[in-house]
Amino acid sequence: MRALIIEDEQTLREQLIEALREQGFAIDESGDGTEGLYLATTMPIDIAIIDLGLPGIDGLSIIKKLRAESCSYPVLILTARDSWQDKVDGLEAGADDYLAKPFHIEEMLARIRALLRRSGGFSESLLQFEGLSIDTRTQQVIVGDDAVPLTAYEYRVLAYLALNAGSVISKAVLLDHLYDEDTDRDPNVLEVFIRRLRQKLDPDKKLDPIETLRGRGYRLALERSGE
Amino acid sequence: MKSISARLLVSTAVVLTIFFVLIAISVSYSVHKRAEAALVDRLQGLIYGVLAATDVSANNQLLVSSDELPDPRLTQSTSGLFVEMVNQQGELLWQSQSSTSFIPTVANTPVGEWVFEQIENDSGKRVHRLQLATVWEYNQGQELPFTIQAVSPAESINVQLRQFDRSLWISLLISGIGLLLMQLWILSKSLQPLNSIGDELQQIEQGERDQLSNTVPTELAPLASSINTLLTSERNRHKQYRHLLDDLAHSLKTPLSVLKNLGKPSGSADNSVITTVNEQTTQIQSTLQRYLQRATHSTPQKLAAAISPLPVIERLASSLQKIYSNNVSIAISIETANEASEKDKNKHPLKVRIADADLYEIFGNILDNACKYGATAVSVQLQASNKAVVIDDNGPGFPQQLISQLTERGVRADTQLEGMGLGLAASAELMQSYGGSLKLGAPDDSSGARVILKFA
Repeated sequence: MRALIIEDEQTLREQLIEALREQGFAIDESGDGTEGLYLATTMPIDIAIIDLGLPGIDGLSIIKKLRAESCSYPVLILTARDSWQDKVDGLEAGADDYLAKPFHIEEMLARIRALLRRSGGFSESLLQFEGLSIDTRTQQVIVGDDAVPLTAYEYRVLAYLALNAGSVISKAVLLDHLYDEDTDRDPNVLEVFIRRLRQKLDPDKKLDPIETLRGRGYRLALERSGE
Repeated sequence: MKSISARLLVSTAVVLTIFFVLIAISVSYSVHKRAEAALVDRLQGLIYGVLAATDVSANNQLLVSSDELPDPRLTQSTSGLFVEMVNQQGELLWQSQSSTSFIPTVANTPVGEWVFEQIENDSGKRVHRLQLATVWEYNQGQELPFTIQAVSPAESINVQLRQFDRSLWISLLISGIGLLLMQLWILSKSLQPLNSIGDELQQIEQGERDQLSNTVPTELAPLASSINTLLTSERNRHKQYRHLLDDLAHSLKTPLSVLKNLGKPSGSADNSVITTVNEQTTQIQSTLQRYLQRATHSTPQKLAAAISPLPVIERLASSLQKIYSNNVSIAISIETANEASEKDKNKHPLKVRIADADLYEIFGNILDNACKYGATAVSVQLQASNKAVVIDDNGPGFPQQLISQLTERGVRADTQLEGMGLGLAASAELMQSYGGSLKLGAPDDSSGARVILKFA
């Protein structure tokens, strides 16, 4: 998952980045509205966290502009101004949820998870498929009745495929959504992760959860259940 | 004396009184003087006439030819006008036929000198007397000194003068009162603009108007315009302070967020320090929240324009449905004042005098509570006939403790209510500040929560 953070207070921004990295997010970040809008409209963002009071372009204008450019990823507003009129203005501009300052990072993470689930069409924190379930809150993956321990990167790949279940995700897109700009983005490494995931999720080669479409990418091929 | 009109009235009354009294005294005095001078003239003529008719007889007696007397009244006994001649020893030498009594001569006055006086005669009546001491020369060198006096009754002249005085005082009194009344009218006319400025200032104080009108007289225009300027600058300053306070409070929230998130368990810092920081930031946060709310809502405009709450509710409903990802349905219904006018539904006749931003807070808190605490269906009913809005939901309903806290004790801004209570208390406080009320209960036909907002 690739998250965009636009927040002008540097310490808070660093706290947010740290917390989201821990959760396995790839991060784009800016402390300035103009740069933030550029990132918001050019990067393959999965979710944006935008402060309303920003130098350059204010948060509301950024949201209106990115919606006008048909960016449809969920947007969470951070705002010190928590009157209902401000909230309604923000939501009508195109935001999906708001968080009034001061807030606990845990609350923000919960809102982000909820927004991502909603944009993937899931209404609960448990993503359930035939034979596989993923708890986005605890980052736990269960195959059949057994918990499968995954590394952070393996979990990220699986969660991204699961939230876009049924769609074909190219290697390039997957890399875009999993890695920061400055990390080494070797497609071969991705292939290694996919192979390891398949071994862990499907040691007996019965489930075949991740399908490879030659030249196009990967797809989580399991049927959704439990909804 | 506080009132300008009372001051003006009293001082005008004093000035007018002094003026009229002085006029009356001087007019009366000069009229009296003129009357006296005219009388003296007449009596002098009489005396000269009598002297002209007088001659000395061979035996040194004074003879007056009654045919040559200047005034026929001197021969009538009832006329009251008479002339007498008296020698230096006080003996009567001659008197006219009209004489009724003898009046003793005043002691020796120098020859040729006139003496005029008002005296009482022996029967107690007031008379005017003019005396002249003179010497009659006869038989070459012999002199007969005597005093001639003319007496006329004072009564008729005095009565006339008294009548004149009375009518003078009465007419002056009437014109004085008339002038005072006119002054009163002029005062009230000319002080009217001041009074209306006073009324307008009072209206400004009560929030019913925000400027003095421009229809003041030219003399007061500078005052009115400076008051208006003062009001505007005062209001701007007030607004500026509020914005500054607002900005201050809001700009503190970002650093508070940072502080709040220092206490992450993964940190290696001392746990007790983190706990304290957490407690204190929470306290700072709630203090900020409370005072911000007070500062923004403590001065509701009494004359907010009457607006329909419907657009506010609709915007809030669609926003909340977005947040709660359509898990909640919010239905808005309108009960018109008159059942027959069903087709006028779109006019949504319920209008309330509450500022826009405050309406958002009132309904936002209530609707958000309903969505947050597990309702799946919320109905908002606008009742124009009761000037009320009833919000029902099918959630778990209110805990009894909250109902009693909100309804029995009343809501105070510093009351610490947790969770659901906080937003409701804020809404209730806002309703109260606009003269309305917020009541909690349960829907008639089902379990759940009901909030009744009654508007003033």
